[in-house]
Amino acid sequence: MRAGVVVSIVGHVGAVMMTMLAWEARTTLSPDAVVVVPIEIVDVAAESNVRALAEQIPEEEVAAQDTPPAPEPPEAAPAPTPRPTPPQQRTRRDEFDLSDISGLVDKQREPGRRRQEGAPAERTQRGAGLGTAEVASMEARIAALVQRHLQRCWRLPDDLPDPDRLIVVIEFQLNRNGTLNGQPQVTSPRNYSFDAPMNEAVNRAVRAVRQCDPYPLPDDPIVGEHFDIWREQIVTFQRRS
Amino acid sequence: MRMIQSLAGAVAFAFALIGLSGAAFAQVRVSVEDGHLNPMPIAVVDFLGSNAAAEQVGRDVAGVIRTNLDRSGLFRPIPANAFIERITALEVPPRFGDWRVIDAQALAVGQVTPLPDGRVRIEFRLWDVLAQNSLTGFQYTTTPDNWRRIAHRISDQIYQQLTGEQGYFDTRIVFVSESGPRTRRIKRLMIMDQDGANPFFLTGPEARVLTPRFSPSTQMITYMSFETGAPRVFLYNLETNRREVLGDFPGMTFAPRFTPDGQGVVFTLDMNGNAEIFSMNLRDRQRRRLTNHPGIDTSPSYAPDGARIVFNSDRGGTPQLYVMNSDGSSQRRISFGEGRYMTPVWSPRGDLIAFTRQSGGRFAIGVMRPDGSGERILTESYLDEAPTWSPNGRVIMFFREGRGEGARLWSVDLTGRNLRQVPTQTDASDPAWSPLLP
Repeated sequence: MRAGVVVSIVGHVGAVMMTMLAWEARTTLSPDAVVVVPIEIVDVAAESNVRALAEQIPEEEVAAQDTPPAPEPPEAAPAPTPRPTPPQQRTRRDEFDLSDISGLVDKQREPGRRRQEGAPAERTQRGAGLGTAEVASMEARIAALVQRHLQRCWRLPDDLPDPDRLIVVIEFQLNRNGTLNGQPQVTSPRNYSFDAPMNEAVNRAVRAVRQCDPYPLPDDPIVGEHFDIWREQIVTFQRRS
Repeated sequence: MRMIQSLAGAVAFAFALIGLSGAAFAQVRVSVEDGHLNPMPIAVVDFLGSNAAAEQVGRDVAGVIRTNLDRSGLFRPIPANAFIERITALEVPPRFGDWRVIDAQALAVGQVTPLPDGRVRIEFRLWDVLAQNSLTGFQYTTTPDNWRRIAHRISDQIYQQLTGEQGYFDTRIVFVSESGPRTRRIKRLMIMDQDGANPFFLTGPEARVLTPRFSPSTQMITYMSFETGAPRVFLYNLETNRREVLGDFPGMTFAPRFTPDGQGVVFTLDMNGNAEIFSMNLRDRQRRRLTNHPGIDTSPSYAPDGARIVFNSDRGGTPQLYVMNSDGSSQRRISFGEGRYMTPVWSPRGDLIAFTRQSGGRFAIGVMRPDGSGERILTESYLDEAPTWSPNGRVIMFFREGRGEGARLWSVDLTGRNLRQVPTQTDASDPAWSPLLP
């Protein structure tokens, strides 16, 4: 009777645990792909946010019309498709450079950036099928993509008093299609209501996160599939002094 | 007992696993160190009007707001022909997607309504396009000819909401208007809005005037004039248009400036070639000597809290900047760079002191901290002189003179990147920026 109860409990707990594990087939990625594929990140227009709506409403057409067409609400925009930008528009700045990644990986080894080192090991245990090194390089790639994306949207605090102290950390979540999920949260500083320059620095960081929505991660051939790795971002905005 | 133990173990294991799966979604840590200093794109729509006259006022108001925001260097008004949505009613929230597509981060809309008594009501709303919410909304009732002032106030609201700092558009500039040939130059006091509109003379062409300064209440101006022969400090009341000499002193008085509470004036009194700094309470007209040195001590300017004064002295051989307590104690030098430092002005924000620096035959406008550290030159030319701060401590106005050219007013912001000429009808020098109008 007792043994039966124990077996039953262990069995139930086991069943519950099984529901928490996702067994992914390791078909999408061969190790070679990580190394070889050269990537170029191309935006339709660095100056604007026409990403999703570009194909539907060309700006010139709209400006020329007397009565603007009823545009679709932003939610109705189709999921981003590979953008039809001609190759000659690609700029050097946007080219993917492996040395960037190695630079970032190196930075992770700096004393102040230890927190990342433990994380990849946990992930390998839950059967995603990626090795520690692969996950680390993916995280570095995600960080590089997000960093480059956000740099276009962030207004530096250089014109605020004492800008070096204005360090802001924002946490936000993404949807599978790269759009913002919910509101960006300010994790640091904690109290800034009576600190006018810090208040403005926080505003600029939040505005950058919103302005940069949507994020280009789903379109990336390497990390695009790995939503579980890039769904949550913690971004530190700190000007280089 | 054993059962309980194993039960507890199983539950603990389950919780551990739940914890593990919770941590399964990684948080990618990103560090952003680079960005831009581009102005923020903003859409200011012509304000709606219920009849043709109101529509005209609406267009004028929106035009002044766009010019103000553009001149600040912090905003880039988007041309109206790029707008997709046509705003037809103030109460209806805009279609944010339409404004996002043209890259607008903020949207200002408004409406002008004529009232039966001949006045107009001007309403405005400011929307955050990215956050998709309303930032602020106001309405003013005024006479139709006062629309320009309302436009400046709305500009200040927008500026404050989007930069977190107080604006400076609803302000005035008093300056010295210069005309006539070089040998017989006519210098008259003139006042205008900060954007150059509504200029008019305060003094006649008979007497030369110099160094006008606003009182904190914006109702009084103190300046130096040769009206009575020798240079004297005058007070001018803008409400009553009356002027008076500040005290009857044995020597020349010049370089006046109000105390931060507006109750007193600090100035230089030159007796027998020895210039010293004095303060005077305007109520009881008691004067008090603050410096006592054989060298020339002049150009005093209070810190906004009134506790300290920055001034100019040549006691060390060349003109340099010194700081002292407001009772004259603890005098110490703060400028140690190359050249001569003059006309110090303490920022209304308190964090910086602006000055003119002359070195190598050129004049520059710069700023330093009150302890003398962090010196930065913002602009330099053949002759840049006499800085004055915007009330929010972000912009400095000064006058610039070219070789053989008349002086003109210019403004530069603290980054040194946004240098703009201020429109004046005549040559102009010695500007003084008022506090925000009440």
